[in-house]
Amino acid sequence: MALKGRRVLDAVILLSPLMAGWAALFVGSCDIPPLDVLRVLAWRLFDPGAFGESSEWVVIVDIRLCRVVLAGIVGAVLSAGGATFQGMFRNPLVDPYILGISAGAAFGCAVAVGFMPLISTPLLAFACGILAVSLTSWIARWGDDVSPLTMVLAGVVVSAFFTALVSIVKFLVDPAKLQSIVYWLMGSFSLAEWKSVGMAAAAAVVGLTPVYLMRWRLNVISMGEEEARTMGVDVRRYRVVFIAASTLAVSTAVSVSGIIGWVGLMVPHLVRMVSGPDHRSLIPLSMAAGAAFLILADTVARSLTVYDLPVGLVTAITGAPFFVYLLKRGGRESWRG
Amino acid sequence: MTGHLEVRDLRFAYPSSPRAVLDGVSFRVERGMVSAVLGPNGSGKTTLFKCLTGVWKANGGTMTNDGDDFAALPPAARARLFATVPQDHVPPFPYRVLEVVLMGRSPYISPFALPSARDYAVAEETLRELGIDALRDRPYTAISGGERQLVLIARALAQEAPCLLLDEPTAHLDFRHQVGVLTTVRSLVDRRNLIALMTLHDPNLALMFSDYVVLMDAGRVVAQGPPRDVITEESIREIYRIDATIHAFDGTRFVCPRMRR
Repeated sequence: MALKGRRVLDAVILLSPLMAGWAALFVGSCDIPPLDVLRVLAWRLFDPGAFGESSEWVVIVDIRLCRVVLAGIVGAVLSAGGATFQGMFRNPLVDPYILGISAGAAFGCAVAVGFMPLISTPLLAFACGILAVSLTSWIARWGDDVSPLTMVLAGVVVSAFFTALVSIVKFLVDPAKLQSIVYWLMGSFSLAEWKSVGMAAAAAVVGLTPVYLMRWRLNVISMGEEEARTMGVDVRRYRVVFIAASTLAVSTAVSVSGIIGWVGLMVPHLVRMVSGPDHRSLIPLSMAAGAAFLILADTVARSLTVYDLPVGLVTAITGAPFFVYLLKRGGRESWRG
Repeated sequence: MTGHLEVRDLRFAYPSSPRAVLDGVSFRVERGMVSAVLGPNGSGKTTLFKCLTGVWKANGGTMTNDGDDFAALPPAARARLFATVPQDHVPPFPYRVLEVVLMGRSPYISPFALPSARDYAVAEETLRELGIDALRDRPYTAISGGERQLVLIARALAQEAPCLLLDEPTAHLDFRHQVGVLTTVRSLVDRRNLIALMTLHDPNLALMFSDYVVLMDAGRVVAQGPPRDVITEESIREIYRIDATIHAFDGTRFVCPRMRR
């Protein structure tokens, strides 16, 4: 019985991005009555020529839908990345943001945008993201064991370092480019366009496919390196694949949307509370819930005030208290390890 | 069925230190036997297990199972030969008991695959065999230490390996669960004709539950053989540096430390 109830909840979570995305189409600063939204979408379906040039169509599809899809992809990537890193480092307190990957990737983007227009931005973001997460796990490693809090501290140090580097870039860069770097760094989907959707989607597919296929192994890996080895799993090899794959997806997400923190921390925990810690369900459900969460957060961010607030503010305002909650609860999920 | 595990002149030192942790360890144990590895802290018992399972790579010596050298086997093949019951531990996430037992199936599951119906069947069967199928859906973090030890044994059985290594299976357990866990190990070895090797701290438990004792001190095997031959007043004095008397009563032997008042 309990299992059946859980299945229903799982299905609800899997469908939640569609529901959130649908709802988000009706919200925006450009006042289009809900019925008109439906009419535009329906007519377009039956008569492809109609509304081709109309402003409603542009607002609904090229602005709202594009933004919703991008938020969904980024949310899915950040949450799946968070779940992966939490399982792999057996540390419930980490996510791509806390590990410094976001800051590292941001530095890569800033350099590419500011000085090296010929080098692909996601490529440099990926290189710097990998560098950041490698530094964090190297700093946190002290002998055989890594304490969860040490890893959080190492991430703070690495983030601070890369954030400082980004500031240097801001100083040196052409003032015309400065504005776009600053705005993008705050974490926002307001500049969403179909080109960036395509890029983020491609990186998400390439990065998350191996994670999804190998997700059951994360259960074994989360028991610790030596114990996994006695069960025939060579953690060192898997770690390379998991880190490279999720960092690719995450750093590309950063390159199209800036630094959006905390999503990867919160969402997997919420999913675990509902559906349990088994990575077989945790990874796909985190993708879905992360997508829905970020679509909703972005909808709130752009409709709360007359300004288009960066969505990173909304996630930080919900995420920071959540982190405090995890710290205080401590023993229950025994992150002390 | 016959079969044996033989270790000859096994040597190991950590890269960072010149001191040999295993300094020429040799022993041979047979199928169907419960063997206890006894020795003070730091005598190399746990390191021995890690060399057997491939967590550490030995610096020298040979290790064979039924005459086949297994030192070069890749991790999955090694895990089909040795299943380890680790010391009591707390995992980071509250997996269900069945999920923990399923992990023992990983040497049979390809990296891109999920556990199959057969893997589930094996996992559920081991839960039944150990009489803990009622724990199936409980969070592993919420059960008692004794129950957790049984779940870890179930996970090791799900690995379907001929050699079972238990690292201090009685540590952190109360008296009742110490006896319960060791009785379980005893009957499993008899029923499945396994090779069981376990480290113990209490020589009395070794006298009661093992057929063979490997006595280690400072990275060497000091003595090995049937418990009553190996666990003597002299050997206890030599490796634990305490005076003890061996009492025999009703066919059972006990080690009783002599109190200094």
